[in-house]
Amino acid sequence: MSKQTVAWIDLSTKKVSLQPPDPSLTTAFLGGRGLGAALLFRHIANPNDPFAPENPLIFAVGPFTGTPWPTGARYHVTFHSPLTGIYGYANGSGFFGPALRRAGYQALVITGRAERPVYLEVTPEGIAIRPAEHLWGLGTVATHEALETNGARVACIGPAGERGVRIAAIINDRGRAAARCGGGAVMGSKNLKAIQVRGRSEESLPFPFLEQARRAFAKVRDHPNVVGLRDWGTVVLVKPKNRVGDLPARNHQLGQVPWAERVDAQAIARYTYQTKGCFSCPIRCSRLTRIENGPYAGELEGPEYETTDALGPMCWISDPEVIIHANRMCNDFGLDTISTGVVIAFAMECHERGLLHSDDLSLEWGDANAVLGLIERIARREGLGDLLSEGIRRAAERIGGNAPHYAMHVKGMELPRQEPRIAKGFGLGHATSNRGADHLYALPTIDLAGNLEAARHFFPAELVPQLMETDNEAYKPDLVVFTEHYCAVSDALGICKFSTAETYALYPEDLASGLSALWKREISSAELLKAGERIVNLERLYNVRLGLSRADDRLPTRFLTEPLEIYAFTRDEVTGGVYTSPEPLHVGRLHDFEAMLDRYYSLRGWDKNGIPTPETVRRLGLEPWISSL
Amino acid sequence: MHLEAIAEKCTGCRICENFCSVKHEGAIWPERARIRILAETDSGPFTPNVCRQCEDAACAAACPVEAITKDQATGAWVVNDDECIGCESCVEACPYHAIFFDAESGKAFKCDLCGGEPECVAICPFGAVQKVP
Repeated sequence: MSKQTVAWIDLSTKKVSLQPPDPSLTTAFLGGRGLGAALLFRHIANPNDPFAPENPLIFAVGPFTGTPWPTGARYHVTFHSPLTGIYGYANGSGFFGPALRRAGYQALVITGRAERPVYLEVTPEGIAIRPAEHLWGLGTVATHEALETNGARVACIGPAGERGVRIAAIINDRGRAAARCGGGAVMGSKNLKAIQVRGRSEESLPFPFLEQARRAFAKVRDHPNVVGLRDWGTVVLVKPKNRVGDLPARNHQLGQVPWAERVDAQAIARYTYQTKGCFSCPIRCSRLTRIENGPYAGELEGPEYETTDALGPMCWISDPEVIIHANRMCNDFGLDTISTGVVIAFAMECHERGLLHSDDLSLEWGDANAVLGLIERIARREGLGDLLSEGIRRAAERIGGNAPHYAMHVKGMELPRQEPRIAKGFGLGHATSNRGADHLYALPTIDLAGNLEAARHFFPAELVPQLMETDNEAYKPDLVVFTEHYCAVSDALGICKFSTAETYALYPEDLASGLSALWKREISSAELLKAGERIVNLERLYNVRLGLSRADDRLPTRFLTEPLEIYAFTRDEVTGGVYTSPEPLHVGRLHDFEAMLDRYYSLRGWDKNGIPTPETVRRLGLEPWISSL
Repeated sequence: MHLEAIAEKCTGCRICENFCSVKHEGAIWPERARIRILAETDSGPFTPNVCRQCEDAACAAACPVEAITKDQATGAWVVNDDECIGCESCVEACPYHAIFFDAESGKAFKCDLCGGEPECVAICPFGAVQKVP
């Protein structure tokens, strides 16, 4: 194994202690997300106050981060979430994670609160706590400009994180984000503006691993399922999702927009001047866009699909320039684009229903000034923005009345951009995810992508026909259970799911042979997936300890009570007008969500309440962890 | 600055390949030369193939670790050995076959304009490779 260290940094006492990694944790939880979960589980000091200084904020990399393994670019931030009040994490890509690995660190565990704003300077020689008063208040772009010296890589917060906005993100490499769960606010509560990483260690990787990595790299690069991502970016999804009703619009009142071509991949391509990839990535799904002139002139890394829907169709915004500009504002303020878009759409629907009103913003669907104005007010906690900056669940409670019905969240986290009445597996995955609504916790794409090859590889033959029917809920739990494990493994190894659970360019077998070569001992794909299952269960136990159960694995009531009509749109070539079919093609509804949940729990070895049974805990070797329960 | 090849002047003597490899590898080793002579038949015609140092370099754009960067002093695109992960994406991307892969070190290599004084230009007896500012 590598010679990486774990740095324990106490900002209150300014003490830094470097310790060797705990090999038992690495064996059981691999690294990255698994290591973060284990460290947070063990060291959480005050779960009642997410901003308590003694709570840890953990940056961790996986064994593949910073190596030539394809997409080995990701780092993981784990913390007690101020947005949801439960287990929380965010995952980011770019070049920051690899720099951390190459500087010789497996994890940074940050506790305490600095008296005055500081940033961390991380090098192979050690870690220094530096004053950051001159950076406090700056946007993330200006912070990067100040700290990206001599090839340093930076992760930082913007004004939103400084002000404790509960949907604040951590932004790295200018345009990448570890956004979800409000990690930016935790960083802000510690008075930690940024982490600057520089230098590289002379870690030599085993030759057989390099061979495996080269083979895997070519496999991902040449795989047909990555072509769309490379050629168009993730916005390639807009058009097909709109056709089937999986492009949420108007706060999930609709699953389609009649004007999808205004915000689809081709529309974004008009602003794209370069494609970009993260460290060691052959997929290169990121776009660099530029608006030449007008009120929204400027440059951006983005927008990707989730942002495009959240700030576009969800708020009924059809102008790509507004979406690009809103994305740029969110990045500079350090805001989670998904949560920001969803909370704004929520405010607009509350306004439509007569529950919310603003003196200076219209809050009408599709009003660009309202969207851009709210982004700024949320980041600065001004006026209505102060209410929305608390996250959708708290805002809905404060507005009262029927507002919670319009709040699209699970466990307090704003829903990512899938439609649970159409994408059934995603619906279940949003509900069961241990960090609240999350498309990347399960990422059950096999049925939606029609990936029969993967379905046949991973599931018993008799399940496959029904499993592949998108509207058939019978075996969606089987799909979600498997993909949750595979996603946990991807996050723990420090790689991107676009090489694994999204495209299946790499199978668990490929990852297992890579890790075996890296760690110089035989690790089977079954062991690897079991480690994934262990991570999911430990995360569940963290929440069980806080009192969570089946009642929290809930989708918003809209999805359970309102059917969703899906139409066909025809474009008249002569007039350019769009005609909607007189009858809906399909009506999307959840047939029996409770049955899905029951099957999911029983497959997992959890009781009817969603709590792991003692046998499950024993099978996964987690008994030592639950003595505290 | 970049190099320009004048095919009509090339006699196929390959002295440039020899001197290029001596300059960069310390040995006469044409397989490691950054400049290569393309020959249609053994007796010609010959074309010196050199890196164009493209404005919008496909190799740099394809590199997944940003290891190929432009040397502002010479205008040459240079491979940073510490960053290179040996994925060969640049080799596949270059439309001119002017960047190469060394399987031994696992790194890519290419013409760096010898820091501003290209050896091939200095040595070619017929002026078949020239420096263009």
